Amino acid sequence: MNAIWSLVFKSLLRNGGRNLLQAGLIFFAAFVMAYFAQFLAGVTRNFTDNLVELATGEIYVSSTINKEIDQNVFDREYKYLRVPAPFLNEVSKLEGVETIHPRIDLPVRLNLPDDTVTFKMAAFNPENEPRLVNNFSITEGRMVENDAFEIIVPQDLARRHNINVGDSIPLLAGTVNRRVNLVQYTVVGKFLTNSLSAWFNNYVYTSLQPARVLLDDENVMTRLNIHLVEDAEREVLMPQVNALVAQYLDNDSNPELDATWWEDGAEFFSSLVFGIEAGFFIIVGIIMTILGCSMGFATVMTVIERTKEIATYGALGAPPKMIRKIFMMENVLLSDLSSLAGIGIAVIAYLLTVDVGIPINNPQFEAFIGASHFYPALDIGGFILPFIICKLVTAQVSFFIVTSAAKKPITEAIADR
Amino acid sequence: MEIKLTNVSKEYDLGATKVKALKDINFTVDSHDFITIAGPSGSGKTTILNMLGCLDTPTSGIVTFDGVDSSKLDLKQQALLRNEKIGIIFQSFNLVPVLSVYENIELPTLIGEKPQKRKDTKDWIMHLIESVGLGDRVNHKPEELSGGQRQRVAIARALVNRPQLVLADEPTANLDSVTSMRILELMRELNRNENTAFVFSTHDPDIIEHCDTVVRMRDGAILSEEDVHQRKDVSQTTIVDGIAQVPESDSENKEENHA
Repeated sequence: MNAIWSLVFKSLLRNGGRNLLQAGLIFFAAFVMAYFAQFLAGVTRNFTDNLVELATGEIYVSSTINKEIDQNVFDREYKYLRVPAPFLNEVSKLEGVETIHPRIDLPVRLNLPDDTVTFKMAAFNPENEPRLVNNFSITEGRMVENDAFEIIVPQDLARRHNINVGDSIPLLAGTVNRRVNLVQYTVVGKFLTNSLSAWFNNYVYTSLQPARVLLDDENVMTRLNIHLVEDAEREVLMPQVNALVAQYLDNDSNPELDATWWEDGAEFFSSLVFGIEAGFFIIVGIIMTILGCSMGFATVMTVIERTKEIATYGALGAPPKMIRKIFMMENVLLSDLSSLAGIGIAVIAYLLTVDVGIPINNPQFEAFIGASHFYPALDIGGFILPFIICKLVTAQVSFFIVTSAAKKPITEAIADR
Repeated sequence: MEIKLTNVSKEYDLGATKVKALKDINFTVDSHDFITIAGPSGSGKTTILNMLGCLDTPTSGIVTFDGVDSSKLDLKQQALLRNEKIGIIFQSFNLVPVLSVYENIELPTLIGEKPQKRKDTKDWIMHLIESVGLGDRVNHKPEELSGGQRQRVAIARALVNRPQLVLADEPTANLDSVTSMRILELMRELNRNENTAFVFSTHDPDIIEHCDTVVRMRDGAILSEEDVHQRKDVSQTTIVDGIAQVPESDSENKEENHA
């Protein structure tokens, strides 16, 4: 068998230039696939971390409408939630819970001097949510203070409607009891968001208590984001939270429900990740097509050049299977070595960039993924898959072409010049 | 060992025309045979060798190897038959360009269904290399050898699996007379000691002189089969104006076969 390997190696060296080109292509394809997979895993992790930190927590109790009602608290159908203080106390005392973040969001109408604008308001506790506070880049003025009737507005909204810091704006909203309420708020700041911009820019922000005044219910909220300590298991805590939900919350509170914001958000994230994945698959598809064509071309050239050699093997008594094996070994060896080299370089690139990241230098995209750098994340499958794909593509192409060549009558092939 | 061609014809379809390369050939090769097939170019010498080597199949007629119809064998069985029992020396050598002299000769021992791992294989290969006078060229590539040296590599390669039958298409065409004689002696030695049958296609009078039997061909037919020592005609054919005539009974068989 060593002599056959020797034959294979020597044959590979015979068409050095062409094989080098082919190897380079496979190397590149494997590298791009392997590193991009780590990259994609990193981007997805950034998204997920960002989403969890800013929008959902590891567990949330939400007023969002979901259809599968009985599965877990994620899926429970709530309207505006009336949350008594003991519920919040007990949830925060559960073992494994790090912090809880009550949130409210509601549709409001801003009565501006020259216009009336329907917008959304979100309320949070600025003292307890430093990450969310840091998510806002205050371009003018300051962040809202807890319990003050203050709002910050997106810079774009302020520009379009000539809203200035210090302005007093009346906000109208439907209350929990289906009445219309009007409360005066002072604009204390304008902001840009550092992440998830398309979504956060659809809101004006205030703290919890002023929003509850607008909704005319001191216990109301639309969601409770529960953050867990690092080693806590979500599956363990879910039933405990569920039990407290069943004990304390009234899920028939109010039919005036705005449940779309989370769905929109989820859709946004899904679309983004899907877009990245689709981009990845398009790139991989193009690479694989080029690779397949190149392998096919190279194999056809090899077979044409070596028809006589193939026939000689046959004449000397090599069964068709052995002839296929020799040529397949050449291609698979070329593919294996090149793809392993590509994956090896991808591993090195991963190790080099996993801590320092790659600067994005694109504010919009930075906002999308919630970070200024791409940080790859380890995806073992992403290293293995390119190897398998390269192997399959080269093996398939080689098998088809060499099988065809091996069928050529020996006397005809021997006579070829 | 016995290879028998019975009423074998071979026709090549060249589009507009059909060429009859063999016409109703009856021919047998046994162990010990040392046969030359002689005849002008296009007489069908190489086609007969291809039939004997299971490299080609007849249009009609039967080729049997030890009683087994070779057309009934699949590609793998034919390949194994060639690998284990037949050695072929091509006119154009057909050496593998990337392999050394030693590796080219070793090749048939490796590519069969059961690669040989005999301890004496290396010694045998070296013996063959010495015998064909290439002891100082063991690690040379074919491109570094002369035509005659390549021919000798091809000869040694054909002998490496100790075949029962060696088919040689113009084996000494590129060799000087001294080397030709040396190789013929090697072949004769194998013929006598190991019962290896040899069938040559050649114009070389030295080979014809050394053979036991000469089969003369023209236009795809056997004109005569003669014992070189007894010069005895045993042909089933007659010649009229230099053209081979097939006996009437054979013509009928042929028509039946074609039907």
